[in-house]
Amino acid sequence: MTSNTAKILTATLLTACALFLGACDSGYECGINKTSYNRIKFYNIDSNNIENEYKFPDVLTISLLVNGKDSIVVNHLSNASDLQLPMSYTQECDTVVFCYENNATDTLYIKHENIPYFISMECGLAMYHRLQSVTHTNAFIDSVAIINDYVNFDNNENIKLYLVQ
Amino acid sequence: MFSSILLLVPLNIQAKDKEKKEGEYKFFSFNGVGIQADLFGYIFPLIGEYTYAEGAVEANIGNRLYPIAEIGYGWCNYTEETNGMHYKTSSPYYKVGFNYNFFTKKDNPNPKNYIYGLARVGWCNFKYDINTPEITDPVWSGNTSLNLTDTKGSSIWAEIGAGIKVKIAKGFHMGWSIRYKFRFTEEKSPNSKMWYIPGYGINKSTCFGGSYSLIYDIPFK
Repeated sequence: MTSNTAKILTATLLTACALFLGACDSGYECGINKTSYNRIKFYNIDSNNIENEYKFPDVLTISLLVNGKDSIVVNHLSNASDLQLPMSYTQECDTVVFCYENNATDTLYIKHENIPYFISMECGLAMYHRLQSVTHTNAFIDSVAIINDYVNFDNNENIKLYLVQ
Repeated sequence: MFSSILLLVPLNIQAKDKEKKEGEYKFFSFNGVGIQADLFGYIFPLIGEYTYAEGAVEANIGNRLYPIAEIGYGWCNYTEETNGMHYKTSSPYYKVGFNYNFFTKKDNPNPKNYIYGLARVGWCNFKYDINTPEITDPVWSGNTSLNLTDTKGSSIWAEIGAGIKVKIAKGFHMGWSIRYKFRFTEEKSPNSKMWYIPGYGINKSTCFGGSYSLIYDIPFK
């Protein structure tokens, strides 16, 4: 091999390695908070039977029943039209308590499948969920509809919560 | 003396014509087969998380177009030190495509050293294992982890790039290439995303790759 050939090979190989290493990144953007939320939006049905987005006029406090005890996740929420709730990694049913300003309460029972999901070596393991059913009491909640059962990092709406007028 | 010179002139013209015919460039002439081994996979563990072995067979069409078939085997048995994630797989992979020699011209039909462009389509079907440490539920508490065995994965991708080949000895070339890869398909599992795809690399929508090859040209004529 001539010296010129060796020089060409060495220079080009070094350039290639620089390009190659420069291009090496993880390819994944790990979220700061790797929690997937159940995204709930409030609606009501007007007298013409039309669905409208609804802002809850009262102050709302939302608790999760954790190991038999109330754990407040949202305190004194006002004029809310939606909320996002964390879901249990290991339980099959989460209990969510809505406490209204007049001390009335509603309870949601959210049954779900837990899906541990490997994202990447850098980002590690996340927990996704698949909603199976939602039952509820009827103080202010009229009905519930699951519109997207897969709960992951996306910002998609998962549940429509219809409230009485 | 003069007559003998006259006699030689036609002979000289005939010889030149013969040389011209022999040197005439034919685009579709089959000029032989080359076999090659990629040495880059053996040094890759120094900078990456996996290794591979790859060989190829290429046909020489007119010293310009080189249809090529590549076969390789990729390994990954990697644990991320920062979080304890473990990924394991090993599988063969396949690529077909061609190289195109930019230096072959009518007045230079057989360059010893040249730059070429390349295009490939690659594919791989494989299985992989994942083991993760436990994660803790920040609200309800309780731990969970993921241990997957023989999860099916597959992908099809394309590669384009450029390379250089230089003659180092009679019948032997050495060269390197750099390749831009873009993934067409990826098999998804309910619990995981493939992290490393043999033949492709780390599973991103696009990535770079390279080769450093030793090529032996099998004499055909």
